[in-house]
Amino acid sequence: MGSGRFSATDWDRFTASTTAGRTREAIFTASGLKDALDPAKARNLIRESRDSADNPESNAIIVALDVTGSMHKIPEYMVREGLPALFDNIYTRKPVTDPHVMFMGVGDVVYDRAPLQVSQFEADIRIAAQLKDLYLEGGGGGNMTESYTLPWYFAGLHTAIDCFEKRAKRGYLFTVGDEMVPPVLTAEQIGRVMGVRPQADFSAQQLLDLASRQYHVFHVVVQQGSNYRAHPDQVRASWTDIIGQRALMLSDYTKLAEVIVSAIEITEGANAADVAASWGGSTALVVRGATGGLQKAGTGGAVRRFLDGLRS
Amino acid sequence: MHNFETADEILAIPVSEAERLFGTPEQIGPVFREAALRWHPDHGGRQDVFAHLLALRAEADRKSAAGAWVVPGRLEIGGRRIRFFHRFTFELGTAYLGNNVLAYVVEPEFADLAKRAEAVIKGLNFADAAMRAEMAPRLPRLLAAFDGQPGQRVLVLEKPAGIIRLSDLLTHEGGRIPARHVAWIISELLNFACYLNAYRGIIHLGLAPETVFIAPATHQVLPLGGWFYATRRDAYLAALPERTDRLLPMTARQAECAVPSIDLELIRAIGREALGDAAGTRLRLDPDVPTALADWLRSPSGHDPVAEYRLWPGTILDSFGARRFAELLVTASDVYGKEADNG
Repeated sequence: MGSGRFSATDWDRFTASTTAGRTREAIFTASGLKDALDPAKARNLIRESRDSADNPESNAIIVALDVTGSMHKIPEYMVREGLPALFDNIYTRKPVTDPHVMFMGVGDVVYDRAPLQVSQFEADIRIAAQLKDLYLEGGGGGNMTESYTLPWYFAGLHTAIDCFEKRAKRGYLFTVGDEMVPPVLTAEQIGRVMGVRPQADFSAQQLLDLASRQYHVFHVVVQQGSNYRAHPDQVRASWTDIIGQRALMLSDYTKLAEVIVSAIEITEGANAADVAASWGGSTALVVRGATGGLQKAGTGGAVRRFLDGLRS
Repeated sequence: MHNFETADEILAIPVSEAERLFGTPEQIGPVFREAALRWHPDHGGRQDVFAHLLALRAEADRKSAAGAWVVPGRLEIGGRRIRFFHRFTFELGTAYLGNNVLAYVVEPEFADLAKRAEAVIKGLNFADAAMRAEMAPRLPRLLAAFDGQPGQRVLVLEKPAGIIRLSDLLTHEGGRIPARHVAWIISELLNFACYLNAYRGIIHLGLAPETVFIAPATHQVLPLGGWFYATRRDAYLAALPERTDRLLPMTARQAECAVPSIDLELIRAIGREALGDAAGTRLRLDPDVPTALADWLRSPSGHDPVAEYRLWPGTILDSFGARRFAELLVTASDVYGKEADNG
């Protein structure tokens, strides 16, 4: 997948026919996991991001949205405003070329019927239709975690992306939610989601390392979420312990697209302060708060030196 | 010119090895004139060959002026002579592969890393005679370390005749080798990680097809290269080659510490690369790669080499059934030419 380009004309048509004047419930009408979004029904258990004539140097970008009860406003924001902002800003700011976007829906593998949903990688309006097909199960439980590690597992083992395979360039993976990262994903849980059971359980660290082979991995902590507001220190520590500065603290979810684009810009080499300042008004504040600690991904040339190691 | 009669022979000379065409600096002019008469397009020659001749002459002139002339097959440095049959550049300088030695010439800005390698290799010890008997043939032995050109550091390692650098083998074999042979390479590397990570408390950090050598006839694997980055377990990282930096597990990247999962990740990557699929996404669909092996190579690395090594025989059994020796029918002279001794 990955032909075509996202256009304002297509977006206007989609908006008029699908979202304008409609409630969230009227947009997200799925009452269960759709086959097209079922990871176990992906062809060869692989989602592909391939170069095309329209997108000759594609870059894979995965946005995995928490679809449990407290987070429904995020998919709604994305299907109303966030999606065009994401594409437009990538097209105009050009942190990467030819974006191929995949959405995932993330729930809780302990409690939910559809803890992982995966769209195709798309470069045009087809991604909007798949986004609105997400099943907003509204599940989750009282365990203070959602299964944010399922996108890591799927991205690490079940995606094939030309940016990495052809150009050794990592894609981007953003999980978005307000709960903590679960410490373990069991083989049984993976088997239920994927239809194929691995030989062993995996720790969150292992799955992060797995996803990081092909992707720059980030987590966006939604500070307006009820779970974050109830347990801010625990949620923040859960993420910064495992992912460090790539835990992006998002104070205003309506700026999610801008924060994602900014994180990509900084990872590709832009200065964090300059990137934040490039946005206007309140967006600059939100972006600065989320991405202020980010740095360019390590590219030390033929040999990378580490200051701490040289001192020791 | 008697050694380079055909266009293909001339085009096969890398610009970086211009000495092979001219022999000595004094011969640059005469050899070039003779070749130009034959290959200049105005004389019925070929444009591509002539362009390559020009590039070779320019490089030869540069090396001659810089005092960097290397007689084909013989390195004279630091008052010593080293015979070699294959030369390759690496991230810290140039390496020379002979029948019984491997010499790394490390450029001045990386001399500290050369000293690091010397110290680590010299410190490779063994718990007992049994461990020595098993591991010593699989480890580098430093024959000499000395200064080369000002600031350069030269490390000369013992090298058994007949072994082949894995990256050279992959190039020779068209980019991949059969899964059964990848399996024994992984077995040996996991065993090496157990010794180095668990017993010696050192993380190698430079394992790669370019640093690992194999003996096709005996299935021994020798990580002779890449010791420049070796670091005590849990100590801060000092330096990494680009490949390791690219493959660094996220958790190690966060801590910037040397942990066993780095070497284990590098070993999995070697396995995927040896099967021609660095990303690993096509392995599970490859009919020539057993599913159990594909799953292992694609799965997240663990943090304990001993635990990984204990589980590994199950992957082998699931992949190939009972163990049997499968000879890899390739020799050093197949890969490097007739000058290479097959041991």
